[in-house]
Amino acid sequence: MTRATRLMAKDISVAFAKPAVLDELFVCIPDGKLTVIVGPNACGKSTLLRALARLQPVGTGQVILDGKSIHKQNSRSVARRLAILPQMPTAPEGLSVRDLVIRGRTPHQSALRQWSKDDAKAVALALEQTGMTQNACRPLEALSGGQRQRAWIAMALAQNTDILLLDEPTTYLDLPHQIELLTLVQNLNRETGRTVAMVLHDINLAARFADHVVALKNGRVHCEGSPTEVITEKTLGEVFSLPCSVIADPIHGTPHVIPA
Amino acid sequence: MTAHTASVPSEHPGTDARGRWLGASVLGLIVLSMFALRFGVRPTGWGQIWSAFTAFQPLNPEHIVIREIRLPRLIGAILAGSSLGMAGALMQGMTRNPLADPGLLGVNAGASMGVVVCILIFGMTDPADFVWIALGGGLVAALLVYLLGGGNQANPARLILAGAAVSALFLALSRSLLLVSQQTLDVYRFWVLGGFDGIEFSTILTLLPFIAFGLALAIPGSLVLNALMLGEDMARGLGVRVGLAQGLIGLAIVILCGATVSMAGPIAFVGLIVPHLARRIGGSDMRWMLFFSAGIGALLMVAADLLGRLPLFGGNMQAGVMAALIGGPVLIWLVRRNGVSKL
Repeated sequence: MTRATRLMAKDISVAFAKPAVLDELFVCIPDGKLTVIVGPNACGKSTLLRALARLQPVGTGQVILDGKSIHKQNSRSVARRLAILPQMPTAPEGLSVRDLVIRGRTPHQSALRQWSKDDAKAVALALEQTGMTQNACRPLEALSGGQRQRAWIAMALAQNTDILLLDEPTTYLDLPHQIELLTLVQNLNRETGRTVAMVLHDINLAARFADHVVALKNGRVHCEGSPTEVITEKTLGEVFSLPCSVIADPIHGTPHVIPA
Repeated sequence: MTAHTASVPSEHPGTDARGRWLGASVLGLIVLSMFALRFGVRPTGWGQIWSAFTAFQPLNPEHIVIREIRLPRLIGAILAGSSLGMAGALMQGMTRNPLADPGLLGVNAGASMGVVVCILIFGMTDPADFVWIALGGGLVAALLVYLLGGGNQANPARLILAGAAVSALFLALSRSLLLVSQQTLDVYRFWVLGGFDGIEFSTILTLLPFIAFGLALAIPGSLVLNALMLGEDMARGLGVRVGLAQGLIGLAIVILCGATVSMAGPIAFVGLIVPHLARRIGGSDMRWMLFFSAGIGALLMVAADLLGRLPLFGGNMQAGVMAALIGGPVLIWLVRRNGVSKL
């Protein structure tokens, strides 16, 4: 039995979800660590992440945040502790990076208190941490794919939560931008102590950046642990049906998958 | 790329630029209002406007015209224009569709149907009596469009199709009812063109609470819309109760449109075009958008009502017709010049 963490899924089942269902899945997201969820297409990775962020209603079981069912908590109060960046979010045309990042402050604002010093501080810090200060006044559509994704991450950072969930943040980025973005996320995790959980497709990148890997298959956790424990020839054969060799990355020492 | 860089200044106005535009629109509205009080069928002078308010003589025909006819008409036009502008801004923001407008999404057709029922079955002729049934009709049409458009899985294209279908249905129903009675047709014909003739203070006083309530919903709605425009998932992640927010914003739209429709008829175009102009000035922050939409809507409506009184247009062109005559070319110009922003 794993010890309790701030964010857990307790035997959750999701019966009707696109693209995949969850089947009595149990997982704890380790506090302060960078967790990566991997698995084949339609194994329930995104559904799990969305369920953890209360975007996906669950049939049975509960998602627990700070000891209480997340669905029974005030959504604004949850949003001050947990931020999620869904896959491929969209923004109205002409929205500037700063205006986008400001919207991350929504759960801290109200009709009566629309702007405070804390808001200004959090927005400036988020822009700085993501290296977007120079681009703050540019509209999103004028940015490159990598910069745009950093802008969205800045928005999630401005929300100033202890837990950050990212659904495939590297989709449609080329390799250099994937590395750049994941390095940014890793640094944020190391420097601010935020708990990060994200879905990634690329196992080698997962192995390189994760502290903790959760491998899903058919809506259940197949196995979890450190990258070296999870990313093995045996597991990859079972989870992805992929015959492969796993060697130690000659530079970083993390597991590296070479498909057969 | 160059197009983007070129359009940056106009799309990202600072607070200064917004302040200047705000000042300009308030000034414009004051000037237009003065003209609206000054010009009409009966010639009056500038001095008489002043004296009508400072030293009112109950038997002076000019004073009576200014205070009892032109003033309510002016206030009606301001209220209708700003309500329609705000309703259009909320609707475009909520459906994330730059073509959304109370006319396209069936609300006006539903409210019109309600008015026809009022005229035909209850024999009403005073707009103040229409308002509840017009609101009911607008609400029914909006719910129908929402359900046909896919409920909470609605996408903009489906919503527009559902809106067109429901509008056509309600229009056909209204027309078939009108065929039954010549008398109803006469009242309806006058009302449907959209105008502010014969508006009295009592009408405005009846409708004012509705518009105030719509406004009270619209202001917090615009705050939430900023988050909602990033997509429903993102909004939920930011702690917005999406269903509740959409319901309240929808209610604000129906109330603002219903009140306007019962007062001045189904005025087309204002709700569609005003938010596009407001976006040019105020950027994509919905709070400013709502504000500027109200201002520009009022300006357009007062101008339309004023122009419609000019001898050039026969001296009595309905404001709704006039607004479409002005609005059409402006919309074409906007689309040709910058294209329509994706929301």
